[in-house]
Amino acid sequence: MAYTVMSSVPLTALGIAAVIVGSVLMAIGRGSSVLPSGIEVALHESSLENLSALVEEMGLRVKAIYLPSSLAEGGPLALVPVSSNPGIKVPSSRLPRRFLIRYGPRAEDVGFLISTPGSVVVRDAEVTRGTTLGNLENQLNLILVRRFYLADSVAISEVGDDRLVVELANPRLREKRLLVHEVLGSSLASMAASTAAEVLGRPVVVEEEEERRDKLVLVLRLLGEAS
Amino acid sequence: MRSHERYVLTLALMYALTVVVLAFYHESRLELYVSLMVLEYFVVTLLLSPTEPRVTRGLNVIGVVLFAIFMLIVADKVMRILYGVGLF
Repeated sequence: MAYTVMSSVPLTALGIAAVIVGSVLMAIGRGSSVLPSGIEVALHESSLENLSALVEEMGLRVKAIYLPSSLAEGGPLALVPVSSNPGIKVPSSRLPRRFLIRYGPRAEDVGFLISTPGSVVVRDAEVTRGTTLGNLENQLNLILVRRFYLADSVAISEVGDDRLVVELANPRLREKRLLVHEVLGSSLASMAASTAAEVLGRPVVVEEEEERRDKLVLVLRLLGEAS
Repeated sequence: MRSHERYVLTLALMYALTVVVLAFYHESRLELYVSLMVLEYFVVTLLLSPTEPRVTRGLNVIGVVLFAIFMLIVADKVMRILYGVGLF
């Protein structure tokens, strides 16, 4: 219109820019979540409350082992051992997708194989395998920062002895503290641990989780060998 | 600021800046404006676009359309240089 009526190229260019930006907004609007606001939070909380009830009823107190999809059928899952024996045994072969599972030869090697927020996030994100901390840091930034806006940035450092420190700047997922968090860690910790397990191909345990002012600091322990 | 907002805001600011700068230099070739906008779209999308699969699919469709427009502009220029007649 501006081109034919007013012979104004800059105005025409502004019109074209508006069309492009409008198309981008449409693409973002159509591609974003279709669930009404608040429903995701309700679904997330009910799922965690159910898991908390299970943890409480079964007396589970051992930290969950986040397994990569190479060790657990059906994607990265968390294995919660029933036994409170501190010696953590890592499954040596791929576990079938069952809720109650035997993962070793000993009588006490029984546990629950459960899907966590991290399992779902990692499964949908199509995480690529890597061997370095740089690979893991990139994947965590892609998932937690660029995709879900759950933190401003993620930084990883190695503290030796197969331990990683993951620092999330300005974490935005606040949850009420439930019993399940003692076993699985918070949802953010679950996502970080599942991603670490999947990227590095090794079982991971969330050893510590600490909130410091505007940071969430996680200590992850890598178990076993890369599979 | 969420990544969606950062992406759209950056794109809009880049477009506004491009138009202002080119208009300041009295540039009257519309194809130059459009080519720069297409280029900026790809650069900003590569650096800042959201990563949800459904959003990425939509942005890819826009990218294909813009790339086709860019190729038409290039083809027009080549025709003008080689044969002295343009497509438009």
